[in-house]
Amino acid sequence: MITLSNVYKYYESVAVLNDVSFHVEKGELLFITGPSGAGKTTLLKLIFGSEIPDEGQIKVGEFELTKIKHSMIPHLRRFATFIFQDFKLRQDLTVFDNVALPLKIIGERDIKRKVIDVLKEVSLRHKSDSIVRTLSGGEQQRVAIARAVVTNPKVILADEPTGNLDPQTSEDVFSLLKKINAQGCTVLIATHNPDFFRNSPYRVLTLKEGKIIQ
Amino acid sequence: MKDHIISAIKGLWLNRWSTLMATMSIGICFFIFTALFLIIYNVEIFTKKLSTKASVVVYLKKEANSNDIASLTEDLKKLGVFSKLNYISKEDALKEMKSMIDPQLIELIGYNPLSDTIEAFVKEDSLNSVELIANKIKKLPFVEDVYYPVNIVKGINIMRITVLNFGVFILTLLSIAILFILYATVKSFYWKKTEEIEILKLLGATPSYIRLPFLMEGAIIGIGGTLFAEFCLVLIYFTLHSKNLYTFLPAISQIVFPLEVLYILPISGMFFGIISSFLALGRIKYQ
Repeated sequence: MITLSNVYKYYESVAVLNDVSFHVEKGELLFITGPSGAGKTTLLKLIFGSEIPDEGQIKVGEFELTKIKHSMIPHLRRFATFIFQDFKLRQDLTVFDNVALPLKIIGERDIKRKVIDVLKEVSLRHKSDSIVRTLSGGEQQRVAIARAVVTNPKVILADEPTGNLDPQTSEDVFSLLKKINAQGCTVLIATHNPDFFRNSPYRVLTLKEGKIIQ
Repeated sequence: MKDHIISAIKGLWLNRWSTLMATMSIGICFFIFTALFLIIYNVEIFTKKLSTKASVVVYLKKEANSNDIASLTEDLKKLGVFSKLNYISKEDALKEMKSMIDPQLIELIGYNPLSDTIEAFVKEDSLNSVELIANKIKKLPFVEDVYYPVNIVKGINIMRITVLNFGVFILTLLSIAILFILYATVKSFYWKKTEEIEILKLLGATPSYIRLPFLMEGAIIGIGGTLFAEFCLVLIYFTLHSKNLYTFLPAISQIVFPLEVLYILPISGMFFGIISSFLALGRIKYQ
């Protein structure tokens, strides 16, 4: 599903990613961990098409990211969606409207049913008409997850999805991502919190100074 | 499409004062633009109308007989620059003169001093070359002299060319001004929505999906401005007509207001709005 081969990324001649190669199978849940500045976010951004690698090759599904045309990036972002630490929600819109946004973008007709279904999955059906800015951090992150899964993407990339949340809410969010993965979606989670993957059956990729060390 | 329209209207409402100011500014520009166009248009009609009254009078030599006159008339026709030719015999000319001047004064002269003449009306498209035509006619046999209203013709041409050149210059400036106002307005709307646009990009929105509401906003402002301009123009047109304020110019019996303006203007406004919004947005970058 995702293959990186000898990927290098430099910021002002400093290597943020240094010869990174790995493969993620379809339906796998992979943790990417490491200290701050290890290159976790850069790695996810490369897979999402927000950044271009300086060397190496990245393949996400059928998308060859080193050769990807500008016009294909929106299609990549429907194939692989992103959950951000700071949620990136429209604060002025309702929960329903935020979750409906990707469906509107792809021209989906059955928006209401799909949004309600996914809000039920993240236990936010009752908050459907609430304005996002009135929600707690945990609720906002669940809205972000609902928005990421509503179009049934093949890949979900989550960058520190529990970074701003308390331990109990973090646990809820993590459970939700596991549930999504169990439904067949490939999930990549960048986190520096080892509690989530300790004693878990999932593969863990550890980065340090831009290199895979484990 | 419905979502984009709603998004555009919401965007305009959120920036209602900027929208209003931009619409009014564009309206004023379009008002001047169209008023100037109407002036040029009416000047063209006016000059054409005058040109049809411009005639070349050909004075014939005394020895010219009826065959010579017929042959000369044919020669003039062959020039292809006259819309109408009138032969006036010296007897008819004298009769007409007597109707204008005291006949006793003419009888004092004791003979008919007038010549046979041919009055030739110049075609509109040959107005510019009337001097050349007159010189050509002078060389024809049996032509004594040629009179043409050289100053009037030249004056009309100078007026027409001046109004046209000045008009084109001002119209160009106004077009740039309209584009600039719309560009700046949409650009400011775009900057206010940077975060919203970033989210759309992250969710896989295509450039056209992102652009569409802004193009609609530009189009709505453009159309709004032109409707304002139309309203002012129609109001002024009817005020002028009802009060006959322009009757001091007897040559202009009526200001012509082509009805096509009523739909061409909003279409132009929409076009300007879309073009300038497109330019304001530039390339939508994802990386």
